[in-house]
Amino acid sequence: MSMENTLKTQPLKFNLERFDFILDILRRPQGAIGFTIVLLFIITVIFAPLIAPYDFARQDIPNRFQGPSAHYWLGTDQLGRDLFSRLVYGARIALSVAIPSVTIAISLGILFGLVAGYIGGTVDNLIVILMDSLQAFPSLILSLAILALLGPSLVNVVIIIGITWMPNYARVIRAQVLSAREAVYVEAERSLGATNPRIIFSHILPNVIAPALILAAMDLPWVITFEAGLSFMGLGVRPPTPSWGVILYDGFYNIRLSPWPVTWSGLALIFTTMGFTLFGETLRDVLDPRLSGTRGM
Amino acid sequence: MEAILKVENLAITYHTREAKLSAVRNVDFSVEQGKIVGLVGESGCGKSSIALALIRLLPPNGMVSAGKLYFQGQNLLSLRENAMREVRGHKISMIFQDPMTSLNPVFSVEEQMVDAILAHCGKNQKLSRSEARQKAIEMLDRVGIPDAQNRIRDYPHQFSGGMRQRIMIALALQANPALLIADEPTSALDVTLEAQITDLIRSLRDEFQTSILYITHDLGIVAQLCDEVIVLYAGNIVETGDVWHLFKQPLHPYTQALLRSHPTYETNSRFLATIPGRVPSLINLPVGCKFAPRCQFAQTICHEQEPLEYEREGQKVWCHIFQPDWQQTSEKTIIMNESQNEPAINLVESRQFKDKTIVKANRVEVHFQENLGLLSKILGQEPAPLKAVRGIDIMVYRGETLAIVGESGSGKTTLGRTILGLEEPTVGEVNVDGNPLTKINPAQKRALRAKMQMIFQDPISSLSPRKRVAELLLEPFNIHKIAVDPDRKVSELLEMVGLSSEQADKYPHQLSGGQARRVGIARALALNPALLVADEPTAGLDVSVAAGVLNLLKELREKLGLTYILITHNLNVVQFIADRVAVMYLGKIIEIGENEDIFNQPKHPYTEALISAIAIPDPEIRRKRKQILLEGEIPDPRHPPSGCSFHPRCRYRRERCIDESPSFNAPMDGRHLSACFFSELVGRTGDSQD
Repeated sequence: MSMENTLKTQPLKFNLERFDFILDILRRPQGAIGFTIVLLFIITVIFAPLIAPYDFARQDIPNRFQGPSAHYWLGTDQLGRDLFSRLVYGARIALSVAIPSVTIAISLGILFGLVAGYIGGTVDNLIVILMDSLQAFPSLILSLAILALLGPSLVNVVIIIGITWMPNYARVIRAQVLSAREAVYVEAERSLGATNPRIIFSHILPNVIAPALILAAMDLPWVITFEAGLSFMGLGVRPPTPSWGVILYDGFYNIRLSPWPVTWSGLALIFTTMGFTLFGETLRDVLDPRLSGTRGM
Repeated sequence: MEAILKVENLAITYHTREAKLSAVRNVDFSVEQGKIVGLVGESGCGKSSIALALIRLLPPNGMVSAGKLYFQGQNLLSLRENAMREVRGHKISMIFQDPMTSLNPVFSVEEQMVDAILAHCGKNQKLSRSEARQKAIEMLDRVGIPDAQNRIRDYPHQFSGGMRQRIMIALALQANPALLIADEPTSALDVTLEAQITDLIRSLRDEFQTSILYITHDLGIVAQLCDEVIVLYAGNIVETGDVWHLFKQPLHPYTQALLRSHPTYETNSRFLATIPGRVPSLINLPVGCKFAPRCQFAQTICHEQEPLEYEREGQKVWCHIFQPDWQQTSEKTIIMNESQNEPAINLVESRQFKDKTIVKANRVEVHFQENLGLLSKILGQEPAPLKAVRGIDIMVYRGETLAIVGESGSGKTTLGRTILGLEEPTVGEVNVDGNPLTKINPAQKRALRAKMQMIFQDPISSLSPRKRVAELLLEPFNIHKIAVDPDRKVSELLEMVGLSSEQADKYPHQLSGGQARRVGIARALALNPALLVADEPTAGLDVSVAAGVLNLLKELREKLGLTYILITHNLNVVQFIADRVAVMYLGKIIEIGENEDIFNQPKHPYTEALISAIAIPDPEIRRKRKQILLEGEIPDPRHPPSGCSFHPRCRYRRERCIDESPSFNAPMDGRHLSACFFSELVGRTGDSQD
């Protein structure tokens, strides 16, 4: 009877533990700052239409290159578009590139890393050679080459970032699997008669995934700046889509007429990057098993 | 006799984020010139904290919150840091538990020793480097490093564990300290090495009149080595006295319980006495006597007041029982050392076996080949394979407990793993329950796994760390696709191994060693296996916890009719639980027979030495028997000696042993067999062994 009760309360306990770990992050000052910025960023992304006072493409030519005012909070760009609205929608673009590309990178990376680390031998060598070759190219040059071939588009940017970032994850996972493979619990599972897929996905994966998730949190800002960089060079999203990189580029072009577009888009990038980095670093500290001992004292 | 060290009213606290934890309280003791004082207790009792406080090297969050430490009349706590550095290593030296990590791997032994000698002798003696080197060589020679002249240039990794511990001792003793603190110096070593090291420590004491504070959890070693004993429990001294009195008539219930939970041959047909509960965590220490919650005699007063000191013939005890106002509730109030252990359900004699074999190994050899680099492959350099198991024939009968005994490197674990099919034999065949393991396909082998299970050496790391206990226990059913009622099965399994159902929600790292061990046993037994291979089931557990695990194994064996293969180097455990014993040395079985025969009349010199090295918690044994100390260590299994592989360490060796290899010429049918040419001499020439 008591058994039933404990099992029934399990989901509740699980949620509480999740909650605990967020609290752990908030308890550290840099974690609290990072978390707040990330939260603001996500709220902006979700509620962009409600937050932005104007349509991001609405032009007001007579009022171009305005400074901040009560009407246009952050000023306007070369076509008289509201900078605040464009930055708010730009956050959407940033995240809609960053999340899918990091997801592609982490999924492929985990798959390659698990296979290479667990099977070893020739398969491992081949995968390592593939990853090394991918990483041998500077990712920007590689992206430029591929985008030149495929033509610039949001989807292509996502795929390319995903592939160029993937080797990092594959390496991290592979190294973890190499040590986990020799762990006693893996042998214990094998002695119970578990099949290889079961050992890999049910036992090794949960133990090796934490570093990859932390890496992903820390890669998000990189990917956002990378997308901005590609858009800055005219290889990312097309106008009038308000990518931060595009705003930066246009502002840079017209910097003598108005410093505001460059300033605001640059600040948006800096704050978001800093927020995600602080959040990612705190996440690493909190999740690091060596720091979070729960046994006894 | 003058006291070298006098500890008065010592208290140590640790500051953590949550609270101030009191690790040690009201500790008073002294160490006299030339005496070996044993500081005993289970893990978490504050032994190491005391040692670190003495050399003022407590971790940054720990501090001495009260008390005085007088060393040669000087209060160590009032010394300035650089004066303390003079004392440390010069007048007080320390030997640590793990010899593998306490030497610096990037410096040669010579550099480390010479630096230490110059650092301590430099001021008043002005030694040159070469004189210091000479001194280092003498010291290494004294602690038994063969060929010290040349080996001093080697790096720590070139020495074995036992040798490194000797080097540590040489380092600790080079300045001829007045006090040596040894913190579990042998717990990482094999039995024969343990005997060598304790013997070395004793002889160094005799030679240099060094006072030694010996910290250990092993009552056997204390009985063999120490002059005085201090028993610690949860940061308090509960009993002190000289070793003869204390072991003969332990007064404190905790000391008595510890002694009774020590497995011995006498307890073979019984269960061990266990101490309910565990050492309290420092976060919520009980009020009053710290042992009261686990004490069978506890009364109300024990839970309310700290016990006072009671002295009898130099033996001091802190227990309410000895206070005049103690309520005599029963005649059993003051118990003495009689065996109160409960008999096992069925006596060993009543168990039937030998009618049917369950495991049959035929000429099994397991070789390991190192992975070669590409260049050595091209050049055709192939190092000799490591032969971990070198030709073993063995039969295990249904329902019996076979112990495989040997030091590390003897191949006993590899043999166990091969029997379970976790390792492929290079030569030979293993047959389990009629299935030849090398011939069946992987799917059949997986199905067979349900019938044979292993209990792994490290209890916590053998449990998948991101799974809860309930998931771990259901894992075997999921693997073999057996439908069960999950809640009922989990509580059933937990109950079988004596755990409460609250444990089902925990993760492995939240369990104590003993609990994790029990979960491992429950998982192994989930599918009702016939055969269980237990690899060092008590390794790393405190005596009282280990006793519980051994009782459990014994009880389950009787209830479920299990066959055990027990892999261990702990002969006390073997005596307690095994029916038959196989002794392994360098990949071969050198002696096999019934438990009783092996221990009463060993027929192989190696077995004889192993048995004489058993640390029995009875100081009287010191007078009765002389330990047979083996020379040297187990040789490199890559290059086993010619002939009988034991001959370089054997005290009976003759010409013949160097060339010819002795072996069993009879099938192993349960008789007592020994692979020695002179087995009839063993035990006759030396001292009597009981």
